[in-house]
Amino acid sequence: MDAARRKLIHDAMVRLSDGDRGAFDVLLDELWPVVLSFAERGVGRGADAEDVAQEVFLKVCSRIADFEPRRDGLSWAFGIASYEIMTHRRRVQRRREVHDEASLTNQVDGAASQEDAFIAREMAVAFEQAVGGLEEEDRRLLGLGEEKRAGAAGATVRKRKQRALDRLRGFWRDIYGS
Amino acid sequence: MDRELLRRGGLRAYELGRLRAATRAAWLLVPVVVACALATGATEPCACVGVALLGAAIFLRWRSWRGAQSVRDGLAAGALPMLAGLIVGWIAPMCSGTPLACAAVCLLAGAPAGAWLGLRLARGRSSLSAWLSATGIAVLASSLGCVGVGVAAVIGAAAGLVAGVAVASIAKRTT
Repeated sequence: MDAARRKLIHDAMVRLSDGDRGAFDVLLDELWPVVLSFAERGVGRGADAEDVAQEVFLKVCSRIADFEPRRDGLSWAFGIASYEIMTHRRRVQRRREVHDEASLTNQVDGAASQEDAFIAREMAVAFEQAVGGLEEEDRRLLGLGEEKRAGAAGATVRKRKQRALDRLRGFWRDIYGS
Repeated sequence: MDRELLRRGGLRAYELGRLRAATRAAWLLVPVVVACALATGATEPCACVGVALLGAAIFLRWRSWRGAQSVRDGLAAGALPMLAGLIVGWIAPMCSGTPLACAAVCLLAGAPAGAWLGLRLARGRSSLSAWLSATGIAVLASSLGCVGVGVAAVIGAAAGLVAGVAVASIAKRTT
């Protein structure tokens, strides 16, 4: 930053604080690139830097009526810019924390579903053990075998199926109690 | 970044910032207007003059730094005839029977205040608009105190202020 440009910015600020609207374009042309570059150094290149720089420029314009001509205009603008950069960083940090909390909650939810899956697997193994104790004929009757026996009457099949289910319940009770 | 958009946003922020700074005059003027209204008992005339004074002060302060200076000088100059009007009103309410005497008191209080204002403006080589603004503010401020004792007192104070400003400026130019 050369001294001539610094003075140009300061003079434009003094004129604007006096109410000379004609100095606005000078301020825009000279201050905007400086503020943008400062914001890029603070938050990195990209849309965030432009947003911060825009916020800084608008704040400078808004507060210029209170600008003290004895102060250096650019340092004053940098003071506002530093504050805005810090605010932006805090906002990003807070957003990141909220995101982390949300993903942690999701992980906890995932653990619950894994537990459910584990219980379901255990149940399946237990069922397999209980079914394993049945005769081949009973398994077929309960539809757990590979094929159904043809030829028997419907009522007979129902009775046999009932008996096979009773035996399965008996095995289950023997292995797991109730 | 669109330059025109930024320019428009910046100008809007600038004008709003100036307006916000200008309205700070209300912190001083509103209590003064309320106090004058209570002291004189002339609530409606005081409110009218107060609104006019506050509006003029905010407009001048918003427009430029010179306008803000005119408001400051005008209020300082108008304070003396305003106090004189309040004291006269306290001693002889509504100046019953002696309106000319009250007008004379306000005129006598306004003349030195106007002279001070004229000298101050002449020293600062102010423009015509600055002269008019500062004198107008001084007249409105003095009216706040004199309005309670009648129209004659208001006219007296205004005449004293204008005469003082005119004499001081002529004297300053001739010396």
